[in-house]
Amino acid sequence: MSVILGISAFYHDSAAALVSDGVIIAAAQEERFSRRKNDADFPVQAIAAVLAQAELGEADVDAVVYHEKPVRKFARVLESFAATAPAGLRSFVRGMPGWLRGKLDLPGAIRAHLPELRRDCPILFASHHQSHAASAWHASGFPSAAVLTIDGVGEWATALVAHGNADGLRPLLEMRFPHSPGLLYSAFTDYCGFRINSGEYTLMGLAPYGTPAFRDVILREVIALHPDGSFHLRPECFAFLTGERMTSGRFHRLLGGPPRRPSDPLEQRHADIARSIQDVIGEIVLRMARTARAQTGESALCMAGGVALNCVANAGIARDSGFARVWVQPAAGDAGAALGAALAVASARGELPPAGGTDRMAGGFLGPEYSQHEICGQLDAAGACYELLCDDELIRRTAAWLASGRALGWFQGRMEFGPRALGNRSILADPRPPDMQRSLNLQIKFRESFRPFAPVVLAEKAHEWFELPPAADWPYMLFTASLRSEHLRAPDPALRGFDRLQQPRSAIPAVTHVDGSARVQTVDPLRHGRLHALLSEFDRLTGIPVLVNTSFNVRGEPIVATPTDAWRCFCRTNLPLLVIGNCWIDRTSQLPDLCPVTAAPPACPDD
Amino acid sequence: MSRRLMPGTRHWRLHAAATAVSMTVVAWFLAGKPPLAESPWFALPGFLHLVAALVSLPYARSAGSLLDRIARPLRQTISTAMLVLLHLAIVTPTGIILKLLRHDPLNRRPRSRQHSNWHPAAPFTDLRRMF
Repeated sequence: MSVILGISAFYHDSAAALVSDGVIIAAAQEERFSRRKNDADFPVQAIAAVLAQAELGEADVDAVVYHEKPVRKFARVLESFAATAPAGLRSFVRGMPGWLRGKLDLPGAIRAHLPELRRDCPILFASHHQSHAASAWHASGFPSAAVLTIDGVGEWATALVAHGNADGLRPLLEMRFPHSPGLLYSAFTDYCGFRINSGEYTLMGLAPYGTPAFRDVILREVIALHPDGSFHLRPECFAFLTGERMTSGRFHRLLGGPPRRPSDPLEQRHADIARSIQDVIGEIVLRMARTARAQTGESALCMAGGVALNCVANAGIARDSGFARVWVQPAAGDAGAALGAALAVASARGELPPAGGTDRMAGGFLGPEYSQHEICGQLDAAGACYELLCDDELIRRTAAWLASGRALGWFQGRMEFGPRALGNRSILADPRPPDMQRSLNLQIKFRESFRPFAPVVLAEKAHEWFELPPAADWPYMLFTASLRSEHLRAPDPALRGFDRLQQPRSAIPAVTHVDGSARVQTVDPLRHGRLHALLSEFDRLTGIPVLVNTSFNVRGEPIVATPTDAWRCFCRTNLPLLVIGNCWIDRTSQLPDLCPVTAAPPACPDD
Repeated sequence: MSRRLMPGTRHWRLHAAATAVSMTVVAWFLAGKPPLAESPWFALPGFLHLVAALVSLPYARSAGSLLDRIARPLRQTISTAMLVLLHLAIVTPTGIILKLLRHDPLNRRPRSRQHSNWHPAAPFTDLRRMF
């Protein structure tokens, strides 16, 4: 048996993944265990979790692979400092100690954190975009495909076009630092007052409230976009090369004012900026996808990298790029690079089984799971009062609860790998009440009221509600689709900007964005057994095969990992019901000291 | 890099050795001469710290931790000063020479006739290499 451990660490979203004999066994992000969002520390707990999932120890690992080439990255950092000197002095003084302390001695750091590794266990290094590309292509199940990876920056590359086929993964074209689609989007995220590496989703959700008023300014003054999707950032607009800020004074003048602070109110201008950069990013990645198609001649595309989490841009690619099939790695960010690095080694060793047409991500459910016995043990220790129900009763009662227009916390099976909650660590709700979106955002998630929610829909009925083909398989919430016109209500032309929130756009307003789109996740019985049963029962009761699905966390916190995390989160929100495994936990049955009837929002300054 | 210091003996010793060296350098500056030649007492705290770290006894660790707390700001100051010096002495002149030679590694000045910013990608290198 061959056991390969992939690691991503030290920048953001550190993670571990385990591949054994070419099969993905487990993968998890460190933040879920450390409870620090986007945790960048060495993923000690995630490694322990993935090894425990396989019932293995550190000594059983045959190879450890890191998701980057550290020396090449250090060379890029040094060269960038030299190119911008003397302006980058402060960044140099802040950044160098980290490199000198250990980033350059990764084998030493890895062995120090994993003391039981065998001495003959090699420590390997895949390049950053090789890791992303491998996470997309090897996991996609396509026998051959064009591969497109787009993110902030790895060593030098910021985007990569590659070709995957029986001969392996062959890189063709790359775009290089500092010309980066990821950094471009992050600069706008930062400018609009959201946190880089997590606020990009907020910026994406804000876009439909605005108009592309700044699109031409961005294309004329901020970047020079080429017909093949590559572009040049105009350096006078950006400050990230030399300082602590992302954007320069010129950038601020072009966009009509200084950057928004997180505590400042959102204005229509910010929505217009969000819409403008969304349109520009959509255009960039669409052109890049067309370039990938022209370079490879393939009819299938797979994607990874943080920018591949932009579901609006992905929908544009699926619709307009000419590819017959598009697959996006659900853990497309740097966490997924841990998995890609492990898959790259497995591929190099010839251990990957032949592609079978279906993806290898098991619905994204690659994290740890808890038996009913363990769940009860943790709930008892926490002092929770619960009822233990049989499967049928659980589904029947939960569906009836949802059908009465309410929400609940839903914790089942293996934890998701990647940034999305896909139905095992989720908050579910009835999508029909007009005030559900606002109520979930303000009372349960404690976040901005404009942020949209995604629908989970029965795969066999998805095409009846959304503009999708009948056999659409979108289990990872990575594409948007419009609601079918018969379910949409005409927009009120008198309403503009955030006022449009007041008008329900469809029969399921909680999951219909103001532009009539939704970030769809299809649910099938094979990968989502219990959630599929719940949706089917909800459909039987209401005639609507759709539920709201949002991550089980509150603002500023990672998604819950353990039953204890779920209980704590439940106590801190205003969720009326929590279902963990077969345990039914009603808020009204709890001791008020442990679980107050009304929870206050957490004091969390970030997003 | 990890924000938590590893509690292992190897890391402890490396950390303590760095502290000891920093303290000796400070002693050198304070004395104005090599400490071991002219002012051995200035170097004594650093020396004791290093011995305590190498012996790695529990009580020695406690004493070492106390010394470490004292030494940390000194170490950070020296580290910052050295990095500023490094930047001004090597990085900045290198950058100026690169600019004079019109070398633009970041491709910040696209030529007007440039219609693409894609570059041919080199094959993936050996997985055993860190570069």
